[in-house]
Amino acid sequence: MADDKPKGGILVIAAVPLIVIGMVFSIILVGSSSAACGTLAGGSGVSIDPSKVPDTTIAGYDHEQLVNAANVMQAGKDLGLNVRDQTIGIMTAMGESSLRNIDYGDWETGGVTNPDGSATTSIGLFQQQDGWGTREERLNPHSASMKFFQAMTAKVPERENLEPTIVAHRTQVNADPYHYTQFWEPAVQVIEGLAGVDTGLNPGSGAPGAGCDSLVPGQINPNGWAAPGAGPITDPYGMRQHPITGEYKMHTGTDLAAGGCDGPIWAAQAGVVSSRGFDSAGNGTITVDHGGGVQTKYLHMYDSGMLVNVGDKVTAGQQIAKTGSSGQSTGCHLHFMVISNGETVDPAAYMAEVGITLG
Amino acid sequence: MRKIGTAALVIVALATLSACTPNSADEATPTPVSTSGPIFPSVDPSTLNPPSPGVVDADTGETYAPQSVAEWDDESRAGVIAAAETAMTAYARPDLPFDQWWAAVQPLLDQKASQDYAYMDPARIVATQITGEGVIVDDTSAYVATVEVPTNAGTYSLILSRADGKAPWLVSRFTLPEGVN
Repeated sequence: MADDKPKGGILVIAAVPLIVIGMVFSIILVGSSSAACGTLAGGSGVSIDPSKVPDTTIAGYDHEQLVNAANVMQAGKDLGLNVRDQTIGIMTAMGESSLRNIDYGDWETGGVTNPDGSATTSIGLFQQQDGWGTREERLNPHSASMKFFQAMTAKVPERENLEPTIVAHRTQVNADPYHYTQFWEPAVQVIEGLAGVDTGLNPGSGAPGAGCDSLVPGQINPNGWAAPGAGPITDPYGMRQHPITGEYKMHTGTDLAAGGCDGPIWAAQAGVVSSRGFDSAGNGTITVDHGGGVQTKYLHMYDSGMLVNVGDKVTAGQQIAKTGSSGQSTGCHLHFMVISNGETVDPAAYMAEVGITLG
Repeated sequence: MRKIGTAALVIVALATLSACTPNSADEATPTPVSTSGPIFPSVDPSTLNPPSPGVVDADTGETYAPQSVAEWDDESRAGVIAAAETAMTAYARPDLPFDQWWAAVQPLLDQKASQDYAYMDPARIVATQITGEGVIVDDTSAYVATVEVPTNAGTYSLILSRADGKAPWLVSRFTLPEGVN
């Protein structure tokens, strides 16, 4: 993701030798998930008294809009939601009303009608129609937010594993499931600015898994290639006995520890993401086409750990995913594959040709 | 050299400074390394232990066979445009109840899009018909294309991909016209 700038500390570290980097990165990851993410994003929400919002501008949102954001935060807090949920609320209101308490519907401005021909009556921060509550409730920022959050928790119980825009879409049923993605980064800025805390939320606007932890870049060698994940190799390429079925099958990739659960997975080379999703065996898989007849595949991530989408251009060493254990996996690891001119090949042997030693 | 080769060059120069994705060559600073772009080894894949055809992949459960390498030929270009127009035609049916709409649209989507578009209200779709031919606007990868399709509500941009040179093109994204939503 172009916008996923690492925190300042990591930039400095990028110059020190490889072995040290591996160690430091794992410390950073553990640190950020336990200190910021664990206590805030997973725990109780944050708040600011709406009447005490300073007269300032954050991410282009003025005082009136920030007061509305404070009401969204307060409603989330009152419902016992965590800071990620609260931020989803602010993101949604940005995408619906630009955080303005709009008191007229699309019918009044553009003659927009519902499918049955009735006038649309969407009003308030979340552009809620009649079915959501009384006009007063929908025009009260706090109660409108309560209604949004109550719908969100009822409709999307599994939301921690879904990207924020999908959570918002499933609640609001927008015309575009990805409409809210552009508002994630400003929402993180607003909530952090108002609460005065680092939430640990990843502001990267395009990251589908935008949740916790900052992204970390990999190391690129002079040939322009990067290791896809940290070592050690936990299972090499080749025929082997399957740990679950006991049958002899082909292990088509090199398994790497890759930092364990949530460890960084890096694009081995620049390219275009050509697939992202789950195969029929349940393996979360990303494929990157590098051109030149070469593709690399990365397996076993969870949905929330896949940080790029089909069509995204990635750079060598860019973090594209977080290590997971989906599908045919008995513990968090990366199954890394190389396809050369249509043939699956031994990744360790291929990467050795470009100067990368896996593991 | 392809676009990605150029991009990779820029990355080599900037990689230790930033994780950002530079988009244009003019962002490149003097490069400390080679100017030949990423090195692709000229090895014969058959020397790197490809699986024997017919063995079962332990992770995917699929029977191994070499893939058909995707290339941009006339057939591929016509194929992706046709797939985009077909998908846009199926999508632009706000008059249909969800179940009927989904039965036509879902088979044209990739796995992720099948998840994400399963929570749509077709009534919110503003386009009702295609008004011109689809145009490929990004063909950086032979496995992925962005195709613009003009409609009565503006130009939609679709991202499609294929698993290999013989696989069908599937949609991962319908991007709405500017200002719609």
